[in-house]
Amino acid sequence: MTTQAQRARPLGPRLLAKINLPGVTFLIVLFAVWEAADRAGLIDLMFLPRPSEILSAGATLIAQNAFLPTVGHTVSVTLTGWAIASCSGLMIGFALGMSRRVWVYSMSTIELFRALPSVVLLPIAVLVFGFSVQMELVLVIVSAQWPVMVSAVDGVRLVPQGLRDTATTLRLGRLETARKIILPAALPKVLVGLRLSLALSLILTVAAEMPRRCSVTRRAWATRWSRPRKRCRPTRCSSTSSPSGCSACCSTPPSSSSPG
Amino acid sequence: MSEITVDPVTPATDAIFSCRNLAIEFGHGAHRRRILQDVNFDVHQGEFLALLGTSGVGKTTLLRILGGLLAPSEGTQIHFDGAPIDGPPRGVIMVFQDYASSLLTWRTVGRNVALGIENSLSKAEVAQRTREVLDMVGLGDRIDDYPAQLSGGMQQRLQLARALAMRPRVLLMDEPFGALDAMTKANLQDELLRIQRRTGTTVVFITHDIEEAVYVSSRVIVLSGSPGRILLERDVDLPSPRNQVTTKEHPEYLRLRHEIYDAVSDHVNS
Ligand SMILES: Nc1ncnc2c1ncn2[C@@H]1O[C@H](COP(=O)(O)OP(=O)(O)OP(=O)(O)O)[C@@H](O)[C@H]1O
Ligand SMILES: [Mg+2]
Repeated sequence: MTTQAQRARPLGPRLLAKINLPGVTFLIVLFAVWEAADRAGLIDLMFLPRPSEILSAGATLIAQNAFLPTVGHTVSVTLTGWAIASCSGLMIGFALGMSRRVWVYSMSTIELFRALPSVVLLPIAVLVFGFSVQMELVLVIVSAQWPVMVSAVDGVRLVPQGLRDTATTLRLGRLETARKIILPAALPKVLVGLRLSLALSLILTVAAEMPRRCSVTRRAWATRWSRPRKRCRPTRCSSTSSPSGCSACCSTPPSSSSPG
Repeated sequence: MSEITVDPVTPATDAIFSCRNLAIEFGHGAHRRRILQDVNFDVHQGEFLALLGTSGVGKTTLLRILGGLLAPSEGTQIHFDGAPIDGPPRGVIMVFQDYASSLLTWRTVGRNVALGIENSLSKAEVAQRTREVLDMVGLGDRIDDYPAQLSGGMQQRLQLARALAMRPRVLLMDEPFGALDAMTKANLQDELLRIQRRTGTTVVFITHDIEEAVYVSSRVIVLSGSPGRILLERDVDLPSPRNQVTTKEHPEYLRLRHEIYDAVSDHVNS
């Protein structure tokens, strides 16, 4: 135990040093200003709870053990899908970047499928796989591999001619050139692609989960609206010229106690 | 005014490189342009040949053909050691004009030097040869730095060290000092001459600077025109080792400089 603590000690300060203190402070101040302004009545965000209310609602969900398992599911689907998409995207991308012929034949197909908005695949995936983990994974993999693939192709094709000439004049073989010159030179672009596709994986996982997991959403709504709110002031409703928006706010969600 | 002193048909026997009827075109259809034509010359063992010419005349193109990076047009007979060139000839290493883009930024100085030899030599031999060539170019104490931490002149010396580590028979250098200031340039010229004397390497050296060409070389070939041809070829009989002051005051140096200058400006004006 003590040895572990001793080994961990140099890591602590190093991690601390990496934290962007001004940036974090700014974020906290932003939330504090929001909270204070809301409490003071300076702003009135009709449908948006205060930061403190969000925190306490989150704490309730965690206490009910409803939150962490679903987050775990989302994270694992995101990461698994991303890992598979990265592998296939990288392999296909490098093959496309290195062989001019493969690129010429497949470019139109890739550009066509890449242009499809990822979310339109959702209904198709649901039809084929139903509401299942497979459906979520397939959706994530199919969509998240594009950024990786395209960045790998770009990275390989944009390796400076000087580096390629260097490999030739030093008589490096094809494999050696790929391993020592092309891949490292393409790496920065590939990393950008990996980051983009990680974000995309998360978005698509959440989109794919929505229909199935909305019980959680409903419960969150219930927690949030179960307490009486000062927000919906009837006086405000009567004073507006078109009361439709307000009536929606005042009548439905707060009055219905727990739909879930 | 064409003075071609080599027989345009038979390759010379003692030549490392022999070029006959060398020509090359770039572009397609209406944009096809002949860049070099009727270029005939040999490169001999141990010589320091300077290829001189104005920008765009085709010097880099010619060197890339010698280095096997570019295929010339049909009808060109180009031999290395008596065999037709097909890909980079063994023992011929190029040093590129643009040093920044030909170094591996993610490898240290030492690992850049090791790039060409790490596959064929043992670890100890690689380490020993790396140290040897880095000392030769005066970068012995920068072995663990990255190329971005070096000055332009140091980066070019690193490229030279990487080439020397291969123990080349021929160095093809494309305006290696073109982008450097006059003082660094003078230092590197002397360093290169010293290394060449020590290793006996044959050097083909491109430059657009008449004084540099006469100062470093044992023979100068001047390219000119469009398409580029050989305008002039002169042996440089100057005492060795060269000296930045005395060599440049030598009557032969001044005469050659004058002659080449006249030839080039006559040709440009006519
Ligand atoms: N890959 C290419 N495609 C088309 N044209 C080219 C190509 N490479 C060179 N050229 C043309 O060939 C001519 C000679 O180019 P080259 O690079 O050999 O000139 P250079 O003598 O080395 O000039 P500099 O001193 O500026 O380096 C130029 O007109 C250039 O436009
Ligand atoms: Mg050039």
